[in-house]
Amino acid sequence: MASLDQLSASTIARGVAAGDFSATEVARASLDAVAARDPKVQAFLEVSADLALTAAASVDAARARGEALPPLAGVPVAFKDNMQLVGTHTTCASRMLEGYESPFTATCVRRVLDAGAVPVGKTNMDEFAFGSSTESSAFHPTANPWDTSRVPGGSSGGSAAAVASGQVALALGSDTGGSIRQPASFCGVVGLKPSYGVVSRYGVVAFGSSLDQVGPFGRRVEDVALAMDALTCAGRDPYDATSQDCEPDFRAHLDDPVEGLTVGVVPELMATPGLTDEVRAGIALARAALESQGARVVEVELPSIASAIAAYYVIAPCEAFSNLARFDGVRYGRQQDGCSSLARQTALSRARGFGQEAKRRQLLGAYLLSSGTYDKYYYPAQQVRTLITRDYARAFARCDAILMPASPRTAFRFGEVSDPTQMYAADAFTISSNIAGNGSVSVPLGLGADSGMPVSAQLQGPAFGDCRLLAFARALERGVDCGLGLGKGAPVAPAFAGKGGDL
Amino acid sequence: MPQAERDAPQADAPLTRNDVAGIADYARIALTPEELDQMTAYLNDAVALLKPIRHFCLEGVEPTFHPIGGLANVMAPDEPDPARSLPTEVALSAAASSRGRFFRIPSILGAAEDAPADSDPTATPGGAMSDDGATGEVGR
Repeated sequence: MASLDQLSASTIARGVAAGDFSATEVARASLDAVAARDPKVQAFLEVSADLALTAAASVDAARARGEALPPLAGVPVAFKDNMQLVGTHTTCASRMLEGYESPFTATCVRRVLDAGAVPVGKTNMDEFAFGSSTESSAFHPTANPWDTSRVPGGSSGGSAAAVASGQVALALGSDTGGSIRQPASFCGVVGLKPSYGVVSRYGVVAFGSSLDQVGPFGRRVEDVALAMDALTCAGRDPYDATSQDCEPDFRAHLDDPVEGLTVGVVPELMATPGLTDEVRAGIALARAALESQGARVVEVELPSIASAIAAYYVIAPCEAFSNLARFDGVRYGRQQDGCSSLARQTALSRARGFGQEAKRRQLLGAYLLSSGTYDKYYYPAQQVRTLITRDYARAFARCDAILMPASPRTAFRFGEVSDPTQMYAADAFTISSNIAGNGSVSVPLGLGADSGMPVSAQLQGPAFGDCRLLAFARALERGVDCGLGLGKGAPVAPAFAGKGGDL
Repeated sequence: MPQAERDAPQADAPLTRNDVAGIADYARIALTPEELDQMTAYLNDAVALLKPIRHFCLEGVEPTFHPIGGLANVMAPDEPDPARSLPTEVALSAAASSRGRFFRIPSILGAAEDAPADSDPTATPGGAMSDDGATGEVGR
């Protein structure tokens, strides 16, 4: 009997289209996997069985009528719980939005569902996307499927874990400072942060409006490419004024050779304190895999990258404070009753609705934007943004992609990183892409020799060069064996493989 | 921005508990006394992480506020768009308190006393620890 564990999003879509199995069978298998596996993983905040079975029935009916099926027909998908989907709650893993029912569906969700995907549920996250471990979820943590005493990363930890544990074939997350790439790295799956503007943010609860981007997780680069085609094929979104047109030919260019192309490495970054030997070894493996396929490796500089953490942790909290001001308990969200003034109601609703990190980030943003302080931090941070953007432009004049770690280390244990500013410093490899607006992808390489946990490499590309970036990612995938053989993508975490999920 | 102005001495002084209470009041997040202590420590740690930015050489560098330059606000005709507009009843459905077609809020200026059932130890809106009465927030 076939198991979903052996299938990718691509092979599920082909199998449903060919009639090898029905979308309903796939949906039931996915829901069965969720029932069997999620009690230990806790990737989901809400399972939308009714929506899943209705969508699957609709795919099956279309096939029965002889209609051509869209490219993701029957593929089980999960959505981070900051994405609106009618028929579900959207909580952002916060008590502030506990019980909030989505009144509309986000464009990115709509497009994936229009491509025929089947919505299995909403996934756990750090509260309002503030964090790198999913530990700050107000409801419960999520476990890393490769070692349930460790975190899945964050803030899109639930989405990464749902894919890594084989509960769904695809998931969407959001990335403001690494929140797709770092959990992808920790959970041993592929995770792409597209260039800013490629995917609509309409209906995704905003954290940092100049930094946020939605992107897919999958166990194969091909699956991520299929998701990107679905997200972009309808063109720019008129409901998101920052969205841009993007050619939906990710799958078409996936196997373009990297022979003759150039990969940059940044020696300064490889000397980052805290970078572990096994991650360093992973980057060496990735470099060799690309060179063996004819890519040329050169050294490039990103001189301003040392300033990126400071710039990011000025810009992001400021934008977060602005974006979360809407949570005042009036139109939606937790409302403190019995208050005789609006200010009191607002202050207490927010005090009781937000967790500690959400309060910290907003207070930091409030301070940095205040009169007398704005000029000392926020304005210089945006000047640093210019320098970082220029650094990347100069680097990409000499190379087609930059190779670096996604994280200095593999997944840590629950509670191991409790100091907020220590957590911030670990974002060094990911935030600069958000600052510059470039696309970046994390690609799994197998397990580290020391920790036994997934190690990944990150590839960064120039803005709107995401098709070529995925071609590099596919080349890297072709050159490494994550346990299924060269080029076969990442396996489902062994502790969960085979538990439910049979077709 | 002249370097001297950016490096004004008071900008290097650590944030005090009182400073943080003012920030919390402005941010409309009420803090307990314990949270106020924790936030004061955290904000000073965070600012220490960020402080290097004040000493970078940024003379003549134009700021980039957004990765996509040249953005302008988008205007649309003032006509209902059924595909996008929320019906009134849907828009009101998530509100904890509403009446008719309106969201319902407490008085903006406030009453003389807060409801006695409010057991929160914070005496005033936001984080100010001194009890300056309910009128403290007028004008904010």
